[in-house]
Amino acid sequence: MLGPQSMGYDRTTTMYSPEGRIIQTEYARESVRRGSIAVGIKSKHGVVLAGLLRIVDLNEPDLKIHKISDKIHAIFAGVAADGRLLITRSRLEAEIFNLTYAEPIDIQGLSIKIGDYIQVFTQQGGLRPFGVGLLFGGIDHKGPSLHFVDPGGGVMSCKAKAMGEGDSEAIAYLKETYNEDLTTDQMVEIAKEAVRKAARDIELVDENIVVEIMPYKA
Amino acid sequence: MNNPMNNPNFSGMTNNPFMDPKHGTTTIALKFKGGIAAAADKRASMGTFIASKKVEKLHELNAFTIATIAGLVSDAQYLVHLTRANLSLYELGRGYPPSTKMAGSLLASIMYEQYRSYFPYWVSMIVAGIDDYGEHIYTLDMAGGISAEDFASTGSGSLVAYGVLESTWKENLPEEEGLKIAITALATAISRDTATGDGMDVVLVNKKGIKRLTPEDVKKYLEA
Repeated sequence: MLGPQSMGYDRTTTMYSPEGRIIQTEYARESVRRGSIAVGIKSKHGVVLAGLLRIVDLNEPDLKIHKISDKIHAIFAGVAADGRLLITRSRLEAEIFNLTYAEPIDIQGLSIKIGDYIQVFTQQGGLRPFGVGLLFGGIDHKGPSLHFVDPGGGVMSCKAKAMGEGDSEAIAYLKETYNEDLTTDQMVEIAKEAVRKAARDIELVDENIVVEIMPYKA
Repeated sequence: MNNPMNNPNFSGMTNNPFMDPKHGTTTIALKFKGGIAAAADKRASMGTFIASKKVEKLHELNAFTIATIAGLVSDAQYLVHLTRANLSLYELGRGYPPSTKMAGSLLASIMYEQYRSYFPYWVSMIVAGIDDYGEHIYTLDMAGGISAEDFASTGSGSLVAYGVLESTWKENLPEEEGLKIAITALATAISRDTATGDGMDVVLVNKKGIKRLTPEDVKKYLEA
């Protein structure tokens, strides 16, 4: 019997494999796994995002953490051009919400909006799924919030999350150290250390790690 | 000065009492050395009836830009919100804010587009603020015209206000002096224009950002 790959089930998102998988979407997740590491942590006291900045040759360092609205930031891992498109869309959705309801958008609502958009690319013919995982972090009317959107369009609320190259090491470290009472300073240290763990043997200088702190007071 | 908006009895949409825009108002903006002073009354009138006594006519577009509104309230509020959203998207995308001129031009082009489809936004607005190039005031009319000014006034009381501004405004005024002129001009319009009144909002824009004066502060300037 031939495997799903050689039967051509991995060639399109409009066809399931006999095991019920959409293999193109799984390939898209693979490209997230090859992206530079991105970490997010949430506690009672706020949200911290951190990421590894790869500086190539003499290029000026790119932005890793993107401001979406007053109190929301996003970080992505994967195909940079795909991510940029989603960042622009997120900002637009946040502004449209604000314009319609005169209230800042909630992070779950924003993540679902973006998730819905991403989902279309895993079902409609002729489209390639987005090669990025997105982390939305910030403060909304419910308090600190951290949401992960995956290339299939899935949305998850997270206490802490790591995605990108070396994410298993980073997640293992986050599991060890996480609790809900972490201060923002502690979260910054943990996030930085998680990025270092993900980088494994590569020595990181401070310029390689970008951090965004969004504090919250109840 | 031939702006039909300055006539509180002028209606842009004839024979439709429900869409009859009333625009009794006075708003003022002027430059001083290092900033902008803006003032507006709080009355919304529908003919001889006072529809509201606590209308907000000074709006913040971003950290260093404000807009004053006169005309159809719904149109004006929509334009303020739309401009604010667009300026915010600009700043988020680039990491630095747009200049005051860009804020004004954006709003003017939205208004021009609407004017060219035979149903203009029934407003006249002032966009004012400071940026890297200094202090700026732009007046915008409902046809999408935009012009840079040293001081400006809109609304039914603007003729009265212009009398004060024209005779007292000078270049490089100190901040205190600029505020006093703006407040005096508005106070004069309040006392001579029936469609202007019910107190005033005063805003100051300088290097530190946008600051709203308290009623006590305003009173101090009126008595001085």
